[in-house]
Amino acid sequence: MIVANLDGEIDMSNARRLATSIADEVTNDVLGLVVDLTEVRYIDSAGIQVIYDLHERLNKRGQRLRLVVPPDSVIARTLDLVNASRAIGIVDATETAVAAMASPGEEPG
Amino acid sequence: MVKGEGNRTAQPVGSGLGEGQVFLGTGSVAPDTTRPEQVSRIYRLNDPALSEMELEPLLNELLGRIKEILSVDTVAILLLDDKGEELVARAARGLEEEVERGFHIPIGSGYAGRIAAERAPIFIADVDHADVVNPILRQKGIRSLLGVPLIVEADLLGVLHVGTLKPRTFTNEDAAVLQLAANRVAPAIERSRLFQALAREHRAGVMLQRSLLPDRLPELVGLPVAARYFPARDEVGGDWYDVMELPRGKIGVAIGDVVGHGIGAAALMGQLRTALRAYALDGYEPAEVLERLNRLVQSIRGRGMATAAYATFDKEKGTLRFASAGHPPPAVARPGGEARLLETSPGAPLGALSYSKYVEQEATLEDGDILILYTDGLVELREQSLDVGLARLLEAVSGASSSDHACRQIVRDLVPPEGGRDDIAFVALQNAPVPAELLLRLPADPGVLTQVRETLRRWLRARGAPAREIEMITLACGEACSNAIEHAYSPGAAFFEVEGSADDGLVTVAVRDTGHWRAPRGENRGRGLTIMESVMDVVEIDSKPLGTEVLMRRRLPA
Repeated sequence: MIVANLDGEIDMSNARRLATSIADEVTNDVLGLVVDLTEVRYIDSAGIQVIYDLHERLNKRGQRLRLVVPPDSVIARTLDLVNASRAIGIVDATETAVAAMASPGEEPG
Repeated sequence: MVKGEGNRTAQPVGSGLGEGQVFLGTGSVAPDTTRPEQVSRIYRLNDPALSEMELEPLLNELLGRIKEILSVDTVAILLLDDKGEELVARAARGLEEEVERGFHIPIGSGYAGRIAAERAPIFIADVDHADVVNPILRQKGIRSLLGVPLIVEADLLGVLHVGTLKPRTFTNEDAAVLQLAANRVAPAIERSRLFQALAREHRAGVMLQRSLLPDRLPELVGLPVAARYFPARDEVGGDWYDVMELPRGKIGVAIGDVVGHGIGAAALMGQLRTALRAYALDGYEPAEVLERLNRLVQSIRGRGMATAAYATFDKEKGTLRFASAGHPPPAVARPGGEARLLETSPGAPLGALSYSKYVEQEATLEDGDILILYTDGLVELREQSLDVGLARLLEAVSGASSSDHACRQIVRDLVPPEGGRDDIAFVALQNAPVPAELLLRLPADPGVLTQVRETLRRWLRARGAPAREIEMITLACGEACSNAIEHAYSPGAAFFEVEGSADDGLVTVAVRDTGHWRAPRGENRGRGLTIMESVMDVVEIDSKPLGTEVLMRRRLPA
């Protein structure tokens, strides 16, 4: 399982680079990916697209994706605007994400 | 006096006489056989007016005088090329073609080449019978030649020869006079060549230095930057400055001064500037950057020393953090107020100690404050204490209204018009006040988005928007700007504009580009529009042939 801790701001200037660098880390043999957005203070539609792309890519290989987003944060509100929170599994702490992923039988993320 | 001159530069008499050639050594010439009127004229070859001349006019002037003194038809000077392998015709009288055609001959061959190889005078009584390679000499109908080497402190510079159209038997006296003339002009040629070589190095150094300085400063929204660099009058130094956008919306400003002069100093400057930038972009704070830089200087072979100051500015908080490695303190000018120096506790210059700790200081840049970093060439004035220089700097920048204004005032009051003794570099960064009405015009480049957001946040905060509103309106505007950047369609540099106003709690932001609005492609851009529409009360997209305007309004909660 891979945990990606992100910080800073994600927009169209760095989204593609971010997508590549995360995708490069997620090899076929890992159980899944936890993207920790706790320290991220801005994400726009380009950043959200990266998350959707990762989600789709992992799903195809039977891997899971969990986002760590503190409730009531800017990122949580942004993801809510486009209903991303419904499509992608969001938790509020990395430990929760890791625990959920480690236990079998969970619904695919 | 004449004797002394003649003996000091006496040359060995050459061996291997050829037919029709007479070898003469200056050492064999007794000064008392030199005609007095010729001697006084030769001395005038060395008059002070000649020492400041460029090489070509100097040579031409000398040739004219020699031609007259010896009553000859031709005079030519051939100088050794930079590799020391060939003689190249550089100036001539009566033999101008030699120079025009760029006549050159290897040392050892031909007439001039043999003089150079033998380092001794050679007289040819009749050119037709001698080994003369140069066809110009034959074509001209020159019958007799006398040539001497040009030597300075045992270094061969070239050859000076004279010729006549009628057969003439040059006497030992003629040879002595010519050698005396050669001994007189050789140092002038050497000086002029050294001067030109120095001028070349200076120009190369200035070019190197310029190429190592930022070719343009970043255009930072709300943080106008200006800088100037003046190379030293005589020798290029190792001053540098740099301004860079850092992660998390901070700005880095650096200045430095490599101890020493010349191309070596400029080259070390280039290394330090690049290294500082690399550490800064990695997000290290000022003290850490200087510590790393000091370690780097230690590792450079034949390392030098440098002073440097580095500051990071967090524009959202208005806080400045800075550290200094033996560098003079930063100045802060306030429009309509007094300028002041920031208190520093400078550590050792870079490269001075194998391990240096640097102390970081913090200061606040209020709205409008201008930070000025400079090198000591600006404040170290001849015969005056550093305090006087610093006071003059503060006086010069007092009342400056912008970064560029501060720079112009410094140039006017402190930079000597003819250049300083030392390099002078300075850079100014203003924390420009947030205007009530926002108007940004920016290149259509994704890299500007961070700045747009920071400016919007500052502007919205100044308009009294609560934190949550600031983030959401910034998000909506960010989406509109991303669209503008994506759609900007122009063969040259494309720009887009952001205009903002707030009236009685109603925030209006317009984003204009010069491209065509395109229907959102894929979910990504569709989400962008969704975000704009969910955040703002009103979103109007007005697409015209010459550009698209996205107008958004939102009423702030009471």
